[in-house]
Amino acid sequence: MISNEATKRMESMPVYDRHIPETCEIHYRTQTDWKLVEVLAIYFGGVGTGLYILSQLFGYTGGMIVGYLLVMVLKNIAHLLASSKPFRSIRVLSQPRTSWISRGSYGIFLFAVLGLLDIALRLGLVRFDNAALSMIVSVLAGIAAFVIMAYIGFVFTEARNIDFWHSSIVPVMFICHSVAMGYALLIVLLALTQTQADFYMLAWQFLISLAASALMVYTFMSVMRHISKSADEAVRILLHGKLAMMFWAGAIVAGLLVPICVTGYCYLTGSPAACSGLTLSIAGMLTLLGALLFQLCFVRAGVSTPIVNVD
Amino acid sequence: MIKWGMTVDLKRCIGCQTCSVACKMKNGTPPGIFFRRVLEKQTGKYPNVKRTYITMSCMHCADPPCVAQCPSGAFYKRADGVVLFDTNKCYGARICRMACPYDAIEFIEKVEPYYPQGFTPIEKYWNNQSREGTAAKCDFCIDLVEVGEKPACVKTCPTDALKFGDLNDPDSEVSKLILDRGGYQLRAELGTNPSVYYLP
Repeated sequence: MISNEATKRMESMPVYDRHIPETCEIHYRTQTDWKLVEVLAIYFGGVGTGLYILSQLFGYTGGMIVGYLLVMVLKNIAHLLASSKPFRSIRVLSQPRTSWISRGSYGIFLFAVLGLLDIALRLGLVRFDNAALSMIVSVLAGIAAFVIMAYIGFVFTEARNIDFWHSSIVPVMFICHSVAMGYALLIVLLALTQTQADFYMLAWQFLISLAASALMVYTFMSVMRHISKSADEAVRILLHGKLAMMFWAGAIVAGLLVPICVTGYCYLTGSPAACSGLTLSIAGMLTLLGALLFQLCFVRAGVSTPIVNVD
Repeated sequence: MIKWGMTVDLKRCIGCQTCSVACKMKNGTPPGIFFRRVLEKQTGKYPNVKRTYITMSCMHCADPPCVAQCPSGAFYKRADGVVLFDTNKCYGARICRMACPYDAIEFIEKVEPYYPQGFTPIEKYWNNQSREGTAAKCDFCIDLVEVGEKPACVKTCPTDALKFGDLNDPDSEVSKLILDRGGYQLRAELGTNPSVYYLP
């Protein structure tokens, strides 16, 4: 039995704060493996495939070429820069049965061939006697682009150590973002090249894609708060922590809310002056910037789950 | 068929880090890289203070997420349950580190010497294994196990907190300990079925 006096004396003593090396501490730890280069690879894949598929649907070959180059040049360069052993990167095709990165790489290889053939067919550089064959190539190129658009979400879903990523909402959210980014870049390209287009109709579709993205982000953040403590910690970092400024100002306000207001205004006024390519392309550029910042926030907020309860 | 496994007696572990040091010596890991580490957590306030030590390494799961998610096939599982890693196949995607629920996979970004005088002969030997820019992890000291010895961490543990043996043999020390002491797996809910059991 410890006497009251002894208890008081011990409580008045300085707290014994034993140094624990960082590697041995049990706490929430944000991942540091994937940084800006990896995010750029994801971003260029999303925006490129979104633009390619939409340009296919609208029959805009210029957009298809830009989308193809974004995926095949910028995305792949970013992947090679991210890899510490780029000369071994061909090994990425080894595990398509279980690995989503491997599956996505098959999508990229298929897209490299089919996308190029599709563009060549549309430009008249290659001709097939059978029109159905051209259609098949086009559809397959679109499917390959969709695989690239979708696989990255599944890569995150398979990250079992990071509860914030380990959710089936993530692939849907990334697809929604890709479509919105595709519309954004399509509008910017059409406005820049002064191509004749129905901007009123595009404003409506862009608005829907932005609203879907915003809804997915809201749903995702709401769900993640209740999944686990580490996912809640990641949400806290985004909403109130070190990434709050980038998340709120960049990803949400500039990337979603302002473009929604601008395109909504364009659509509701209905006048060609208000619904011009210039106005919409401003919304488009903000969306492109906001999506990049959102993906950066999403990756940097990945908090690994401690092996035992830290509380 | 043998299935190698390990038990960690949480009552015996005193957090001395001898296993971590033995592992570093055996595997020649550069500064900051630990295939085995002893995590510790101090909880509560005086007089109800508790310090917990949990020695951790690769769990050699029956259903290892690293093997499934590694796109280059660098991780593979042997018939005896040991999950191994081929440095020469890794291209540095690092998805394994995010897939592993036990934080057991290290990534050797850059190899630096321990001492300002430069690399020691043993460090030079390990540097020749071209591990820079690849993942790395515990291999249950399979080279020792194959010649009838025990992993370095098990051999050096001063309190006998670590035991190594065949989980498929009901008469092995590890099987008996798991049965008698109610050994449990960490994060068993994930269904990875680790080969390392913790004894409460």
